[in-house]
Amino acid sequence: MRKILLFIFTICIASEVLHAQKTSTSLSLKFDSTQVLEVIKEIESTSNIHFFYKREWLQDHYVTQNFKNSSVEYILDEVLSPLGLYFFRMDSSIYITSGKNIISEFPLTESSINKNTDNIPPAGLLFKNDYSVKSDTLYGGRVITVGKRANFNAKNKSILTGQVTDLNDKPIKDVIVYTLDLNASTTTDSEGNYILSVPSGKVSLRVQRMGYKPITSSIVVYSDGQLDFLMSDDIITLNEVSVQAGRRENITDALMGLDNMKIEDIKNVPFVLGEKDIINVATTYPGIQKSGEAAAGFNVRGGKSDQNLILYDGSTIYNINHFFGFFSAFNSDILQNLDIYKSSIPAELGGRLSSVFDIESKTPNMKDFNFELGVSPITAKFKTEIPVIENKAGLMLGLRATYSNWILKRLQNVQFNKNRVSFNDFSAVYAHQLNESNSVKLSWYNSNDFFNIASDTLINFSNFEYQNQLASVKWNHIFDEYNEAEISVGHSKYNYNLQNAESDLNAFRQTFSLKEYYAKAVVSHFFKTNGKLQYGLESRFYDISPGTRDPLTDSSEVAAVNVQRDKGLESVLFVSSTYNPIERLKLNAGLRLSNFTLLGARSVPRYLENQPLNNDNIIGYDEYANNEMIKNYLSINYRFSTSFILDKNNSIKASYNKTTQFVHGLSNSASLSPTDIYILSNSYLKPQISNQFALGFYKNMDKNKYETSYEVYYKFMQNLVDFKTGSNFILNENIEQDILQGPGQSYGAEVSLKKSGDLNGWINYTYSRAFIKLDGETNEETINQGRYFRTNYDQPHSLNLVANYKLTQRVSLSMNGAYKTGRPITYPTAEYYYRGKKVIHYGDRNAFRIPDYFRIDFGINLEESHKLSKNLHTSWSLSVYNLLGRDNIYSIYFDNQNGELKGYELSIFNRPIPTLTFNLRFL
Amino acid sequence: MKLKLIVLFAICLCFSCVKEFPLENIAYDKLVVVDGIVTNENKRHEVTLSYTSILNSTEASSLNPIEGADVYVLDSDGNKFQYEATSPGNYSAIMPFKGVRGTSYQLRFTLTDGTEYESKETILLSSPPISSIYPQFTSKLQTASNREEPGVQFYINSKPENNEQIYFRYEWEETFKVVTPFVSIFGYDLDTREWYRREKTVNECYQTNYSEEIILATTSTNDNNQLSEIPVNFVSIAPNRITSDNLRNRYSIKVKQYAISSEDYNYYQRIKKLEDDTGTLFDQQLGSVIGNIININKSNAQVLGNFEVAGVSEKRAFFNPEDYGDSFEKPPYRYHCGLEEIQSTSEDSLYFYMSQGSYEIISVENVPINNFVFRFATKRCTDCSWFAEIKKPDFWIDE
Repeated sequence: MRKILLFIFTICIASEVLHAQKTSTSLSLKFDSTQVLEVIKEIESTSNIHFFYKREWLQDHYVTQNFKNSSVEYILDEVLSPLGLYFFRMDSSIYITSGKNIISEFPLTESSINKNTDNIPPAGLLFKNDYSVKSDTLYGGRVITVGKRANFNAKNKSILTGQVTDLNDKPIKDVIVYTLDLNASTTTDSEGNYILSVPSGKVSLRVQRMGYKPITSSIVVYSDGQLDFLMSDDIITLNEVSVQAGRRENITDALMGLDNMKIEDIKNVPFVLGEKDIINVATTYPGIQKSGEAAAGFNVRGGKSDQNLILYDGSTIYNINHFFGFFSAFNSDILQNLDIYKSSIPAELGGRLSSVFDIESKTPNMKDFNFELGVSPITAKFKTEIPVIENKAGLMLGLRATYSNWILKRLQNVQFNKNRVSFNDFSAVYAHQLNESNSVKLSWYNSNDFFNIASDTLINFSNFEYQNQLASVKWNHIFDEYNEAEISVGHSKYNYNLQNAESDLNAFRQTFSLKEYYAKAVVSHFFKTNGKLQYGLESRFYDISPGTRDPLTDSSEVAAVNVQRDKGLESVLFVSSTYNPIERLKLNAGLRLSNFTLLGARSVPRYLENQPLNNDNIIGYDEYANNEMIKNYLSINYRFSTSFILDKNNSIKASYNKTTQFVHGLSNSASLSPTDIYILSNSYLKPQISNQFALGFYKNMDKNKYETSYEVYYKFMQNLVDFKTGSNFILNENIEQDILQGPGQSYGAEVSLKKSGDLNGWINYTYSRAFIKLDGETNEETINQGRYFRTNYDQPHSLNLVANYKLTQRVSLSMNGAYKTGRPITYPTAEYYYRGKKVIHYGDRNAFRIPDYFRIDFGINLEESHKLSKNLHTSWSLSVYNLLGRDNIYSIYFDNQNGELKGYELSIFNRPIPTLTFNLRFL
Repeated sequence: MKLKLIVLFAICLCFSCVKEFPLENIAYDKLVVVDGIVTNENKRHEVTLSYTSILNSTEASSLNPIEGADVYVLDSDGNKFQYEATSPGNYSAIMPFKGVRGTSYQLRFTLTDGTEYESKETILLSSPPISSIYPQFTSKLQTASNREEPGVQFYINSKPENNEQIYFRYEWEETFKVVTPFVSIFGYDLDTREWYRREKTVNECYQTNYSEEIILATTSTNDNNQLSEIPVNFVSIAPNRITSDNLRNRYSIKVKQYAISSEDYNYYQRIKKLEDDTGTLFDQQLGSVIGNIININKSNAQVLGNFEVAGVSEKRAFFNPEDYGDSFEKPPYRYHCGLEEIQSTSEDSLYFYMSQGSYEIISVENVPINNFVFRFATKRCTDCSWFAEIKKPDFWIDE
């Protein structure tokens, strides 16, 4: 195989307006033949700014000029430019350079915040002096007052509420708002609102969110009041932002096992074929494992791939892949945020055992029209944001489509050029701010995949297509500053169909479809002190057609099969509360009461008691009418999590989570295959239940430059779903005959280190084990003699490294490294003859492993234009996937050829794959 | 090599690779294997008992027989059919018996160590007659070569008589006439160094092959409850295939139809599935296939193999090359054949050729002055007796 250099020409036209916010501290100075050196000293003495320079540049020059209410920058410009000197400012430091104009935007670091904290007078004492404290932001140089002076009581606490928005008036969620003395902190909700209880008086407030310039502001709080913040994008420093994710949030928040990914953060991670893929980046996080390049599913903390709930704007998405997992179903341009819950799953989310991936689309820009266009070797994509009513309503449209058919047609190999592969996805988001207290967001998503395979006898079908369709409407209502409600309704649909048209007599079409409808109401009540009560109702209705088969032509003799529909209603009542009994202790408790009802019409077989479930033991059928209750399961899930802050940099957390799953994905293989089906719990198939205990220790070091976390967990599960050997679940009317259920155990430990700075990134190690026990009544129902055995996704060790080094302001290097234990497989251990035919005997299920996986990727990013005034932004990036060209085995399989068993290893991307991308952005 | 769905895609991207790796025996499970069947044929039904062998072991040591077992079959009417050892690991009923429709049969055996085994009782179903066997000249993708090969597909039709008959298994036996391109009229005696006129020619033989694949069919997915166009045997005529000239002359195929229980059907399906469905990223769950035999003393011990109870029906049909349609061209003989000619000037020269053992004399021509011209062809172009039977089978009907 040849190495192929792929040129990716990606044109991105973005409209995010770059607002370069220069800080301005007004000074009035008078110079009369003053030595420039003295000018600098003067500014230093009056403004808390430190200068760095070479004395000899300044000492022999003099200046005569009057400045009145001028900014430091203005003064310096006037003074220094005649001398051929330049300067740049970083926080409260100004660097003077000779001959080189350095344009830099370093992020405002924690270290700069904490400088002032020592001098803050005790709350409540207000001096005129306090008004002159410098701050370094949009609100720079101005002290803000909140509330009514008349209501001021120094001993009281006041409630500060407000909204954090970006320059396009889009609310920003998950912004951490905290006092610099670290006594109070909170984060904004999905509407950008925050509530914080602070001591009345003078407060230094820090507003921080990765991807935005942090704001530090001095305020004087007289009484309860409102303070909104406007955050500007931190465009140039995005590479560094990724590691600031939830800085210190990791210490203070009670939730554990939570990862947040801002889509912009994945910009610098090298990718295959130049496509950003949120799921692939997620698999570099601790506790999330993917079994190989083409594996469609992923495993979270020793859970099966169908135990992950993936939500897009609240609607469940059932197939997150395009092209068999090489691409994720989402065009990352339209995404805002991804929250991954691995252990502390909020009570409002649930329905799957292992995790919740909560993906949120961007809120459309309501101010400016913009569009982006991108081209990669496989896909072309387009995104536009259209303001419908200025500052009130906006529409975003995103479209992505392949032109791989065009490539396939040109392949020399006849066998492949008959193949057709195509996929596309379309999304639309409409957001309307009706008034101050009501907003509505409508979201629609549609994806299509289509394959046509020439050599169909191998897979028994020739055409395959699948669709995802999601729609949701979300209405947010704010009652008052303490209460808000969110009501959402939505729909998701996943269906596939495959066809075999080879032989006229046997031509058929086979389908699967799943429809889910939901309605959800959440009410949030914010306590006057820090804390929150959230409760609500949710109802999901499932309508699944597990399989149909129809003759494709008139002459086809294939009998029509229509497996009975699965209908079920899952109704949930949930309540959760966050409470701080003492300042250092945060408690989060949740209760999720879910009731699942399987509904008719259905005919349910009755089996002989104490006999294996098979056709021979069917003694009759129970007939149920349409929507008649067949089986009801009630489950109570408890969610507890707590954090105890040891000190500013250390905290411990513990959690207990119980989850129940009524919707089961059936797949016999390690990866989700396209013929997977989903079925509902029924009289024989019990809901899966998981109990997870987790404990974590979090430590930030070197002024939050290093974030470390250590988490351990233990899960005990019931009714995990597995299969009898050689079972067939496609078009199986009585699926219970092929399914085995048994208890499972997973446990593991995750150690993670994140670093910010010029060298930034994360490294984490996961130890994870997953076992299942299938001990049935008969041989057929017993696997591995009824002992606990490892599941086929048990991968004990995995190590991930994502590193980014900012060589200069324009050049950065990035590297990924991934190591993991090979996944278990079942290996042949003997052979024998039956009917004169050699048969291979396989040993204990999952007793062996494929070789370990190891890969290194490398990337160089070159930013060409840094001038803030330019609206054309170009960048080059060269990445090499699998730099070492290691032959990572994806799968091992065996083939019996003329009586000799042969073993084959399949590896994907076993060569270094270089990709060159050119990005062009109009700002 | 089986290249499947994702491999195709991955190769499209030129980024995947399939490599063979040495399959080492990591472990060996020694387990009891049962291979037995009772049908409605009146015969000494057989059961083979063996232990599993080490993977990829050589042919000679591959069967690991279990000797000295006490083997018998019980039916639901209380009859006991005792078996005896006929060769190591093979046991046959002492007296021939015929399975009866509607009666259930159970295999029991005890090993020398006292371990007892039994099969699940299975009811014998009758098999409906095969109504027709018919050929179709077509091309079919062959997994062994991964390409389309021309050949003749033989199908059967059958009509089940009742709704018990749902699951079927097929075996076929093909016999075809082999005619060498040349006829050796003369033999040669190496001892006396004399040639002689043969009494009987060796250029016409009959070769018989048996099915190896598991062929299954069911009416459970058919509306009309009919077995129609069930493919049984595909004879490839691709030049490099061993079957390339099977259809050169008259051809006969006998198809046996076994009406089997759903459990036996499932057993075969699982065996078949394990060997068919490997080689993709969507591998099925591999594992051991357990049939209907259990170890009475230790119920969770794995016992491999199966004891099948089935009604059998069979049909034989004969075909000539012209039956496969106009587009079918009679395939060439399996070997390349040429003639060689010598003129004997001395007695030795004939001996020299014949002593090599690979030539036969086709014709001898007298030339003047006590001399002969001998025409030779290679043995494989004149004598089929070394790879097929000279004797015409009893069932054979000439055109």
